[in-house]
Amino acid sequence: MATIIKFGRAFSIIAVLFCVSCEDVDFTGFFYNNNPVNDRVKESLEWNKSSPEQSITIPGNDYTLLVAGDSHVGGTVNLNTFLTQANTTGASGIVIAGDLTTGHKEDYDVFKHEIDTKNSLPAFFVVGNHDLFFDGWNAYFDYFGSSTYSFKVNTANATDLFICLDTGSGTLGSEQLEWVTNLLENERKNVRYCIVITHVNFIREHRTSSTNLLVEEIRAILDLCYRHSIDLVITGHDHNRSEQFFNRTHFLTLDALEDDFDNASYLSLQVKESGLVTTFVGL
Amino acid sequence: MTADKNPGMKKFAGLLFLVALSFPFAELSGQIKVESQIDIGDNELSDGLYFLNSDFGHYEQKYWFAETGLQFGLHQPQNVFLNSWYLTSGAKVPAGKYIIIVGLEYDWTAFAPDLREVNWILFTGTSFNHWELTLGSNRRVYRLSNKAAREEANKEFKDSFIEEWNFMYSAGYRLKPRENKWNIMFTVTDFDRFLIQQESNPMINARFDYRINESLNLYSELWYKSSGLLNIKVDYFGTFIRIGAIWQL
Repeated sequence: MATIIKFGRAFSIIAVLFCVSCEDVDFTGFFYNNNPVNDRVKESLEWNKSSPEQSITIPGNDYTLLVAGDSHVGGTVNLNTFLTQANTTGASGIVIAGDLTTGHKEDYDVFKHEIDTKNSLPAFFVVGNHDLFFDGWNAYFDYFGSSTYSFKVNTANATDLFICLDTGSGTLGSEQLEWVTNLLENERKNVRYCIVITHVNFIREHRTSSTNLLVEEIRAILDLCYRHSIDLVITGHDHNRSEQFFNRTHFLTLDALEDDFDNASYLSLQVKESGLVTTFVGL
Repeated sequence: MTADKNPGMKKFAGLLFLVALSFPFAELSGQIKVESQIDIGDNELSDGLYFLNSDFGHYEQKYWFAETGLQFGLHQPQNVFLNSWYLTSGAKVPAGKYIIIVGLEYDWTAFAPDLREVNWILFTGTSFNHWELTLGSNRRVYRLSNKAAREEANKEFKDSFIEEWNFMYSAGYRLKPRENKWNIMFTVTDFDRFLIQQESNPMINARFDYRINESLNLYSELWYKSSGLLNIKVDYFGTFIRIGAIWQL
């Protein structure tokens, strides 16, 4: 018993030191989540009801979206480069696949300022685990609204469906799984390509310490991808690009956009009648 | 269907051969155990309670053991009945007053009518008076069922992919010495008998054992699963209760 008490004391001291000293990671998240995924999804779906589904209309048949992940603002050097290139290379929109910030309100303020002042394209955001640290959900919801939503890109001849999912706490949760299942059952047959964008990785292509979803959920997602012929799944989180193919679905993990990250890059997603072309663009 | 025409059958035949190799020196006096259990639980996928039944056969003699298990989905969201089966075999290596177990396992799961998960597992473990420790590694393969793969065969799609190896661990502590008539054990692990999580998703369980007599043991377990622990944004995923019995024949 004395050993257990000593261990408990040591653990508490270490935990307190971490909580006090680390500005980037909210270690209280080991134990407690004051905004669990089902609550976030309920808020998001309510928000969706009061906001029309976003869409982009393209005059031709082909278009390009630029997709980045893990910008982890504070630092904004790479984010600015990404925004500049997106706004000068003819892209039709941008997506950032989670970990936009460190979760601190002041970093959300910086991120929002950068987007508002340096981006003129339709922009779509996904919530990541770091965005939820330090009660970051409140800032995310205030600035960007829903974390579970879809948007469409209408071309001259077809419509493509993009689904943005909230995996910030490592699970889709029952509400979101039901929502995405219904969406796919109702909409998939009406669209050309279907692309899912979320933060936490579904499959593990290489050794990594990043957390995946639980295996039961990965199985459910693979089943959805198979039954509904999902074309592409884009995730961030791991900070190291990887690609895997299973049946019709291309699973792609992004590098981080974070400043000082050695292999920082973003993804150029060219959507063509002949198929999807993905190219990593280094910074 | 012959093994020559089907790679899955070939692998299975190879596995059976390996298991068969484990038994040439088996003594007739080896122990046989059968076990049955029911899981009742709720998780973020189940849309209410789910019910599973699992049944096991276990044979061991002084230096070797083999076990097989089957799991059936009695009530669950997946549209399958035979969820999973496994076959495991291994050696019991004496190390002083302890026995170290080293084994190999093949685990097959149908998680949807057309989708399969297969795991190849290498594990080792030992048991002390109060502690149970197991370490291992698995290689996970997701693939289409043979039928679905045949239907997709003329298309240029990959019908399987292999995940990088995964670290398996289990550490359990018993309140009472192993031979006690009743016991309570607390365990942290990333695997159960038919399911292996990624190493970054630990599960916890508490188990109560009660030995009725020399040949019958009853047990119950309470499992808790969370997600996102090592994302440092933890969330609830599910809980379940397991009730089981082991008969030594």
